[in-house]
Amino acid sequence: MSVQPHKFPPIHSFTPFFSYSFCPSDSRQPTQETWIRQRTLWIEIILSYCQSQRLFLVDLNELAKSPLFDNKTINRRVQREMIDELFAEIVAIGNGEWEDKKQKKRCFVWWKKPEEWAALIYAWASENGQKICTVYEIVEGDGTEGLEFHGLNMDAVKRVLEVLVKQGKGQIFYGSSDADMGIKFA
Amino acid sequence: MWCETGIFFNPCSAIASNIERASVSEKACPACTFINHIDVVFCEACESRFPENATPNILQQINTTTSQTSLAALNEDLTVKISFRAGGIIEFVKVLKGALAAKEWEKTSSAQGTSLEDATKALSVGVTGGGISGIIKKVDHTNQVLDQTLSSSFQDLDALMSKASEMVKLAESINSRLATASSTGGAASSSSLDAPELVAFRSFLVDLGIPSPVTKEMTGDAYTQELAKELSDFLHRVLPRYSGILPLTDLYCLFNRARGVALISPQDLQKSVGLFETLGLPFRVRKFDSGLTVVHSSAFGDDAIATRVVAIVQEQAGMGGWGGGGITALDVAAREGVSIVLAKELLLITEKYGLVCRDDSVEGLRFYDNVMLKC
Repeated sequence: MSVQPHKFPPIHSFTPFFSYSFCPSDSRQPTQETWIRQRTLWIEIILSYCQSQRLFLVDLNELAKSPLFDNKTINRRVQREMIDELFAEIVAIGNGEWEDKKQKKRCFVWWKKPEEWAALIYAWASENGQKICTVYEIVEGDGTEGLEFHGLNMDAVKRVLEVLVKQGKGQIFYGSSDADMGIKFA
Repeated sequence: MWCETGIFFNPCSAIASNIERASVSEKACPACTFINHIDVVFCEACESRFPENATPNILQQINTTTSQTSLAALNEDLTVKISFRAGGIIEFVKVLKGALAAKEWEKTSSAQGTSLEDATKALSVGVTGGGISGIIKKVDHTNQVLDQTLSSSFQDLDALMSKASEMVKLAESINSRLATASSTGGAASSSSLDAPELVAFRSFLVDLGIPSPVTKEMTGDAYTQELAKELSDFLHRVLPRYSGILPLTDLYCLFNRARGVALISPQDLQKSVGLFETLGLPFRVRKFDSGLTVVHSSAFGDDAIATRVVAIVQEQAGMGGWGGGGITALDVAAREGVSIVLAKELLLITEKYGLVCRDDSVEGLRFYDNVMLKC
């Protein structure tokens, strides 16, 4: 799946028809009601941005410099504190998971939840009669080209496969490296 | 006292003419001037007895009555009865009134001289003996003159005060007349005075004063309550000019300027405004998070503030397309005629209600219509 430049929704650059953008979206609103709404809108933007850019694991420091949070058209930048708050909420609602639970700098972004990924992979495997395959085959192999989970982050795939194990739909076996790691579908 | 005024001559001549008119068969009573028959012994009007030899020399007798000696006796009596048998009452009253208004009797006494110069002059002439008694006399006299000067200057002050209250009354009456003029019809008032002129004139009158300021001496323990009521009256007149909301410090200045005398302390003001709610007066005090304290009419609550700010924001948004350019505290201050500090507070209140949202950047704090809650 090729990566297209992300088309931001109205709140980000408020209206594409004017040169104006909605500056307040980049400032953390102090009013609770407004902030909750602003947070919800931002999480939608973050998830759709990550989806369009096929980002699975993000580094918040890097993301802060990306067009997502650094809006050059209106010369506004989302403060780091607000990004932290946003990701805390993403994790809380199950659309994210800290890769480093202590520093909270790197985060899996589940624009599709692990269960959804697991279902997709399982469906692919049963359709193609796959019994045993490696992780590499799933995310990089020719057989999955064009499928949504093709190119999925290695670490993310491991989480997804763990879900399958939990569901009793597979069994993980470990090789010498990550790429050698495989799964036996039930 | 009457003799010096010159009024007495009028009744005199009246009596005289009356007596002249009396024929031989009649005689006028020397007491009440009633014209009796020649033969009666008592006056038929006042029942006073006629003197034995009264008949032929009545004119002469009257003349003696008017002479200085008998008037001295009259002075003590203080009651004068004046009859007008042959008219002339109107002229008499005219002159009497004039004399009363001019305080003729004071003229003579003040003409005696109260200045220090006169006093010293009098001293140089009057002191016959030297020595201690002379010095004592001199000192006494000087003291007396000083005393007079002082009391007369205090009289001036009193006169000034009474004039001041008259001025205030005048201002009030003009103000109320203006109010009725403007209420009776826009056409009439606009033809006589231009609207801005009228407003300026009115504001001038408002600044002129409070007719009878409440003081601690007047009210005692109820001072704070009374002050609160006076403040309420004052705010009724003043608040509309400041778009319904006024910082406490501004109120303090305006109020004391209006009073002119008997200024109040900030503490008194603070206590008094705190009583608005308990006294049921239509004003409230409000302390913002920043510590700024304002007084506003109770109708001017959060809702009213928010509505007004939102109106400004939306007007701005309408001008600049979606989102617009946003507004700053400066814009609100200019539009609402309030200070920038207060304008910011108004914006923050509105923000609290989620009606506007902020853009906090290096360019400053701007506020926008809260489209986030709408999309």
